[in-house]
Amino acid sequence: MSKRWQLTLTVVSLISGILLMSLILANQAARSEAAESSNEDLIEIINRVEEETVALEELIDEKRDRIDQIREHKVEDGELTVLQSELEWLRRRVGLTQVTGPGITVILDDNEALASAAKATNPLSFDPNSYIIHDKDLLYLVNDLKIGGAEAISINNQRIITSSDIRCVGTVILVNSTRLAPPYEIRAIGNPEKLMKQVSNGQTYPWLKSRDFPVEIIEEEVIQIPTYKGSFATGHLQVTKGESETND
Amino acid sequence: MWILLPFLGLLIGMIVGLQYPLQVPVAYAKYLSIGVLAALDSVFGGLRAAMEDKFDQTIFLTGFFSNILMASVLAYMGDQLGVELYLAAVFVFGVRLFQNLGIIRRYLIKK
Repeated sequence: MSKRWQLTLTVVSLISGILLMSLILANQAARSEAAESSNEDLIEIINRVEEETVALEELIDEKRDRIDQIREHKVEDGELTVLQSELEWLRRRVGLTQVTGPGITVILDDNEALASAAKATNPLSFDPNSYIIHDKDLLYLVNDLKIGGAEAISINNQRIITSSDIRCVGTVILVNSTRLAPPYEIRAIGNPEKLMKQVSNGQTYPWLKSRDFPVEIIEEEVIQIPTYKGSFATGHLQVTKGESETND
Repeated sequence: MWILLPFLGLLIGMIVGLQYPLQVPVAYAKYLSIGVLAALDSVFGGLRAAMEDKFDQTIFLTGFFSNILMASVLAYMGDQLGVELYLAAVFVFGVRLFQNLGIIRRYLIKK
């Protein structure tokens, strides 16, 4: 019997085997890639943009420092000194200075302990939304602080100014368009007693407390609140004539 | 003993393919998968022919390559036309694979 066909068949089956495994591996790779690629692209974009934001914020900081240097240059002119002190006062109002003073710190955190307990006992009706801090909790709490006479407020070192936004995108809270992660540390400078009273009698804090969220208010002698690092929208605002006259 | 040689080849091929996989472009992997089915069909067809003492090297080798090519082209054409033509290849090769396996089994048992 000729042995030639054995050789042919063996070689051919060898090739088939290699092809088979290569394709199986290629298919697996394609499938896992398809599942991950879109996510990874998005994550990369977000990371890049956030890096860019940090770099730009540093640039803004630098520029503002430079402006500060120029502005603090003492002048003897009486009119200019008046303007200078007015500018200083306005900058404090707007939130462009690092400030310190007595006040309170409110700490809010997601209710993870209760969430996992609820998930274990009743997985069907489990709603993770009931156990996390939402953007509106922060917003209402900031409002309570403002009513209590807070002079400066920050959330996780993001200074709250008049144009600050507090909103939610997906599962994260954005303040000043910067992503925040729990626990949320809200600092406010003002009369500690008044702030304390307003927060503990407000809507948000007692509600969270009643639902066993890990929240607390700390009265503090000295609180440091950082300066606002973002930019200001410009280009549309014009001072009307009547207004400027009354100011004069 | 000699019957085991092609199976051994298949096994070694799979191990080699697992260690050093050919880089197949994702776009063509789908079509080549049908080709692999054709290749397996040819291998078992060849084995069967060998058992029946009708093995012809030329027919076997041309069949092996043309089957792979035709199956891949058919799958590609089907994709372009929006008709799932690859099903035809899957059906034919699948059925024949089992038939050939059955015949090979019978031969082995009879011997």
